[in-house]
Amino acid sequence: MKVRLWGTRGSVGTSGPSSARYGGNTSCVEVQADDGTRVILDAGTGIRALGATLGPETGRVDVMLSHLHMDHVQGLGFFRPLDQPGQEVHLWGPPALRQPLEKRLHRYLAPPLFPVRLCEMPCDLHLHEFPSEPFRIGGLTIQVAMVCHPGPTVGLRIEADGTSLAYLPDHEPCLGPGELPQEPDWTSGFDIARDVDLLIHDSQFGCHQYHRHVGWGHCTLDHALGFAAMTGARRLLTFHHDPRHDDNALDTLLAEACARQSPRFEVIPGREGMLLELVR
Amino acid sequence: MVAIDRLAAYEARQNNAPHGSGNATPGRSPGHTPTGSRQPIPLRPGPAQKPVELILTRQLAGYVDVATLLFDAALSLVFYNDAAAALLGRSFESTGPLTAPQRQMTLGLGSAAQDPVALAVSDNTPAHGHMTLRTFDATMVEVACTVVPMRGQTGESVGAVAYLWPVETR
Repeated sequence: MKVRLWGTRGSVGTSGPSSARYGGNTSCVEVQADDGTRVILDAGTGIRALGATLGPETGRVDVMLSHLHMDHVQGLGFFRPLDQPGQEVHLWGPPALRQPLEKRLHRYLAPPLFPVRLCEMPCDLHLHEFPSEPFRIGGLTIQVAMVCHPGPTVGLRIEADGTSLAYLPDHEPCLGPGELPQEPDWTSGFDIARDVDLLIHDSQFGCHQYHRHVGWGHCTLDHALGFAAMTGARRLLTFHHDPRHDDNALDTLLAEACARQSPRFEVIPGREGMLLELVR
Repeated sequence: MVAIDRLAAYEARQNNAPHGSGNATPGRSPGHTPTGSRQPIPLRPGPAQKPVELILTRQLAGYVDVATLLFDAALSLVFYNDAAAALLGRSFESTGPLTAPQRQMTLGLGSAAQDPVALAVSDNTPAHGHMTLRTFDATMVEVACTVVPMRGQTGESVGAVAYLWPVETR
């Protein structure tokens, strides 16, 4: 299974030389099984460049939205496959009893916020709300679960070719249990992330920032390390970097958190453009 | 769990980055099978995680000074806060979770026939009433009890939350 990071920034895109190494595009990750099955996780601004690589020979395209906050959907309007007549595109999003996914997406993809309505896109568009049971797309098995973040938000677990990853880009796991790691059964996202080979996880805040942002749906690098240790993840990839943190700040925050926590697993700083290959 | 021998993690070359040459992962025709085919994903044995709705309600219960009890979909008492501990005479840490029969027997919180939690969950409607509660030190306390069933965004029952207020008796 191959994993490519097209956007790792949280909240809002950044630009400029000070954030060039980690990148400035917001959340977008491409996952591809060995049989070629591809899913795209989130449609932040990073999805624009990804869409440019998908030509007319591309088969079905699946985009899975962890939630509908702007930094996770902003790139949708600029995702080329949506503008390709007949291109089969499947958009997946979290369920919400009171409003179907189409209506929620139209709040952005319609005037006055965007000139073209989602329903006017020329592609062959299919909308799905995530089922609560695991499901398969080609060689990928996908399971979602609601996680702690404002508004309906899912974390995803993807398995293929004997490998597994969990994607929790926006997640506040210490709501409920308090400190991490303490109570797995009371920790949001635990079942999704249990024993995965690669955990892609929110690591937005430094410790000094979190106390002012409790309940905002994000966590610190220390929380991410604690959550990864609790779940038994083999590797943690830091993600959803705070736009206030430049490259040097992110290096420093990660080094300090690792010095405090001494993780027994590999910690990978999530950088835009990075390609990882999970090998059985 | 399948053992992983190695992980090849490397940054794409500068000219291979998404905003660079565009030489990204090759676009292959995936040959998808239809969605909806389902298979269970085996997980390491361990405690099952509570639904996030219960987790968030516990977070709220930790902040409010109203006796609050949480029940899972099986109607077990899975948490109560400090205000409830003051009313019941024992902390949750010392009692741990109680199954529906255990709480009915220990606290008298509903009988097997008229369990307000079970009624609220099965009818998917709030239940409210006055009742006599037996605390852990066997004191009888009159309380007003409101039970609110909880459903997730897919409509499934995830349990219930009960609020208790002591009632002045003459």
